[in-house]
Amino acid sequence: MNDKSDNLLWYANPDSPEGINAPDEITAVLRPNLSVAGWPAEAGSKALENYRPPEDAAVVAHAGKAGARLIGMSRMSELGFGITGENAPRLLSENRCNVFLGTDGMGEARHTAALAGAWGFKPSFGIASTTGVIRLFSSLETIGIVAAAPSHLKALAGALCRKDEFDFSMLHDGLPDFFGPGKAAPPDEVRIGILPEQIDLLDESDKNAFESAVAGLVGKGFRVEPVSFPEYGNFQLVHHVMGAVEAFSSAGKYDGVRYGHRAKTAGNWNEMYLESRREAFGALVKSFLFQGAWFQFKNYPAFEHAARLRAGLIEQTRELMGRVDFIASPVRRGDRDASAAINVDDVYGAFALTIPANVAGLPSLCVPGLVSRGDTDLGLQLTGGHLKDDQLLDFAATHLAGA
Amino acid sequence: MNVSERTGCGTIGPGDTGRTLELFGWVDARRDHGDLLFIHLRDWSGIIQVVFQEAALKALFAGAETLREEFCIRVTGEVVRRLAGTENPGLLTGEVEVTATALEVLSRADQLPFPISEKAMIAGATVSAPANVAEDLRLQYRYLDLRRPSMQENLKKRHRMIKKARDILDEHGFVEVETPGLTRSTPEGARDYIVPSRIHEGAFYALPQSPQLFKQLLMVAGTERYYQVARCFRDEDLRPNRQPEFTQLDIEAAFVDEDFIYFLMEEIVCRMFAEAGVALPRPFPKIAYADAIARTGTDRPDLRFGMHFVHATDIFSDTAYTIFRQIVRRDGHIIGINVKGQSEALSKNILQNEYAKQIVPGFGGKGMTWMRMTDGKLDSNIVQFFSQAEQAAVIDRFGCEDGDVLMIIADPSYDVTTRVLGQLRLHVANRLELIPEDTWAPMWITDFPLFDPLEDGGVTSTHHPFTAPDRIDFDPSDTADLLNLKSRAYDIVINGEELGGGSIRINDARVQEKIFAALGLSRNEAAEKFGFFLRALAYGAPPHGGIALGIDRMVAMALGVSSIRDVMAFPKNRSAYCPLTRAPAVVSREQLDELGLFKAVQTEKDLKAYEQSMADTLSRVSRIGINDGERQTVENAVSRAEEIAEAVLSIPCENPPAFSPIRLENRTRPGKTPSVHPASTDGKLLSNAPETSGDFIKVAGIIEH
Repeated sequence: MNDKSDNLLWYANPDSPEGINAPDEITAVLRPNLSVAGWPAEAGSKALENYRPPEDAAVVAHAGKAGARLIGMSRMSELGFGITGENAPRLLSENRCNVFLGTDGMGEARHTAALAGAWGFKPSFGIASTTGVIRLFSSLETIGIVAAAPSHLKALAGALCRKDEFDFSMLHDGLPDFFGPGKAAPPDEVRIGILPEQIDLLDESDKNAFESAVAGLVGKGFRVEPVSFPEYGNFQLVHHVMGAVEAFSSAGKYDGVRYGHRAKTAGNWNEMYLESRREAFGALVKSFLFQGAWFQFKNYPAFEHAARLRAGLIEQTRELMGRVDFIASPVRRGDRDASAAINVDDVYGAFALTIPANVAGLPSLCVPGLVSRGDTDLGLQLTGGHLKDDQLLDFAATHLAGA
Repeated sequence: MNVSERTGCGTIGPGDTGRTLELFGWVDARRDHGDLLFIHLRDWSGIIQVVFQEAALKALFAGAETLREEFCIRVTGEVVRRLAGTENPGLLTGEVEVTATALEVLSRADQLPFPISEKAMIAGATVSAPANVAEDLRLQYRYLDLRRPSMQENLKKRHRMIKKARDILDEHGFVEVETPGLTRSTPEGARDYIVPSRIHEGAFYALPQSPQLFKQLLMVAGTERYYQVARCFRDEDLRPNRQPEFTQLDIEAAFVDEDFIYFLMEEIVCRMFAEAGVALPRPFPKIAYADAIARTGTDRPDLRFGMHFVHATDIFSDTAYTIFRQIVRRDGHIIGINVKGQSEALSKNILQNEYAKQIVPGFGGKGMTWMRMTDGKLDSNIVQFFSQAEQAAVIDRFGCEDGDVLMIIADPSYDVTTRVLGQLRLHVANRLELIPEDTWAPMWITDFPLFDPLEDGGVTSTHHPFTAPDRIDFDPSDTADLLNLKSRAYDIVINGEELGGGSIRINDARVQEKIFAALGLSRNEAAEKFGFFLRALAYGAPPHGGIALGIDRMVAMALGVSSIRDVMAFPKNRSAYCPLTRAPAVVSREQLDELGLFKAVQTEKDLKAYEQSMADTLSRVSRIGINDGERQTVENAVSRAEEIAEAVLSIPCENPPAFSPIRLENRTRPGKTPSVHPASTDGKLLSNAPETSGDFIKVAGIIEH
């Protein structure tokens, strides 16, 4: 395994050297929570120490068939909770690859894109296979695609979002058509909603940056209007409670029996789990897992109630997406650094703008170069209606590419 | 609702054809054919298929289309015979169906956490097995889990078995008497569950581990024949098939002897098993404890199969084989089993690398010697050390024939030799599937030693200190004599499991005092611990004896279910936790204050320790240890979770919960052949295991021994 400081890749594919050979070649780095047969896939955690999956994740196989050249894996946050310590943005911005494939459970792929000045896409929940994807959140997390070029993004979205008979959580009907004729409406028919409750989270500099971007959108002829969403604050509460419980449940499989780290001192079965898992998880993820354990064991009604609130949020976003085509916001807040978050509240604070799409299962896109706070690109986030992924990508490619 | 007009879904047959019936129950399954909608309607008598026809009843059909699994409904309809070829032999009512004319939804059901239906709607189709559902999820939604007909059947059978015992006991003049649930903690046996008293601050009740002392007091009281279906509580270490509370059939009678108990219990046990369709052979053989150990290494022998021990120490009294010679010189034991005709299944590699090096040491043995019989000769890596006479004696003693495998344990300690070989005997029998199914081997184990030796040179009761000895002329200070005493205790063992035990008790206060003296208890100590009971013995206690049977275990065995939790309505999980009610739970400071429980821990540090224990509780139940450096972060995170929960619960909302952004639907993979993933057959799936040994993944020992 490569672990040299001069090499940004956490794992380099010995059969395929780093670097982009031609602009139209897809040169991809993977987050090591996507399985590639025989490659290490530790998902940033000691809990998966030395784990080498027996086969490719379905999406990895699709990417290969679509012509992507896999050059290696990046460094990732523990189990993909946030992007603490990740280096994918640097790999992209230094042109060491032009595509990054990972996951998006609270906005990780969109943040990576915004930090790299690239395009980032989280598809609707239920249209991309998660077979072979090491996820933390079962109902919140999808794959995530980041690409320097919008054409690569669309090509990969089409290639990766397809049925998988081994993934029983997928939808089979009403799926978006990524290969059909473009669906971009003329600008004056496009309605873009702004949620004042979301924009209220921004500091003055971010607000100014976003207002300039909105002015640019209005200038292009789009109908931009504020649409109130009084329950916006519920998105974060719901994600935090349900996310913690889902993470706790997912992490249950890291017991040091079939794979991963096992403590040496274990006397009996119980101790083996307790000690192995004590050593396996870092403080950030462990704190989050304990929150999940608390909801699960000590306050299950809070979890169930969060799921009730989620039903309300899904219904209201569905209703909202009947009135507007997309919701716009920045991807990230200039005053929060997701890659440096060290406690659970920091992580949630950094991802406050991207979480709603995960809670409601909506497609969401990061468009680079439109929301700038000084030299910093905050990323323009466009969120579309459920299963209207094709419409979202077509719109952005037609009207916002090359901005 | 006219209760008397209701017809049980499972009682409808061809004889009802043409009748219009009113049915109540739950939607077990549904199948939508566009213009026809079929449902399985289930109540606890069984399942009937109901058909909704679009053409006939448009409005009704629209209502029926909204039906989902486990809606509670009322249906009126006419019984018709199914068309030839559409019968469902999987249903007792499978020759008929009901054509619905009216439908009322009595109550709706949320999306189910797991499937409940156990009956396929189409003959020959399979339904998902509940075995695949995590048990904690089943226990959390126990009221749904119990809706499964097989679980209802378990509860009904359990009821029938207990009722049968009550009937027989009633026939024999026994009366059921309830004994207290709140009692005094006594020092014998397992750990008590204790209950703080508010009125007597600082004092505690204990929940009964068994009604032992009370039932003996009832004998003193002249209640000559007592029984009780009693709930017992024991705070013992966790084991997979053990519950903190369990039910026993507790029996005691005055002026009886062992033969009365044997007769009565065989009658009860056989007729209880008969309720579950199991015919136990009678009479139960009686096997002395020492014989059971000598033949099988355990006082719970499984005699459904052979492989009884063969004692061979004398054969090797003068052997050249060093290991055996040293064992013999230390007055040790060489005992083995003959695994008949299994030399193909037990390869040299399995015997040497698995059994001798891994499995036997795991049982606590130092090693294992093995030999195989091939072409009329013994064959193994050590046969060369044995003389011709020794080999001939082994062949003769073990009854060796070609294809046999001998597995031999040698150890200076008789206890180790027999115990290890006993575990080995069971392991081999299970591995080679040598235990015949549908065979029942009940027995009595008798003549237990009254005392077991303690390391400090003293003795302790093998059962409990009220068990009568076989003779009373012993000297309480003569340890050697004490260890020779037999007790008048007896256990019922079926198929290697102890289902219950009891004894004839001591009814003479002077004998009881001798026993306490033997146990090293002074008169004062004995009075402190059992004073009230010893007083009672001094007032003309009659000779008496009794027994207690573990009902949960017996029902589980008779019904052929592996877990006792499947025959209990609301069991705890393997961690003694109830996922349904989330018990045990932390109680408020106020409650503890009221009980005076904080009086003893009033320092600031202790209070803090109590408040911080949540992180430790979670650490224990979720089996994630906390490093010292992380403790504060984890505790802060847990406090934060409490704040978030409060914020969530303060928002009013009545929606049904959405656990996923999309509606999950059951879908069947196309094709009819089972899909086997290659990684599950080529070993790749398990190739990442952190610790392996040969073809095995190594894990730490389960708590059960």
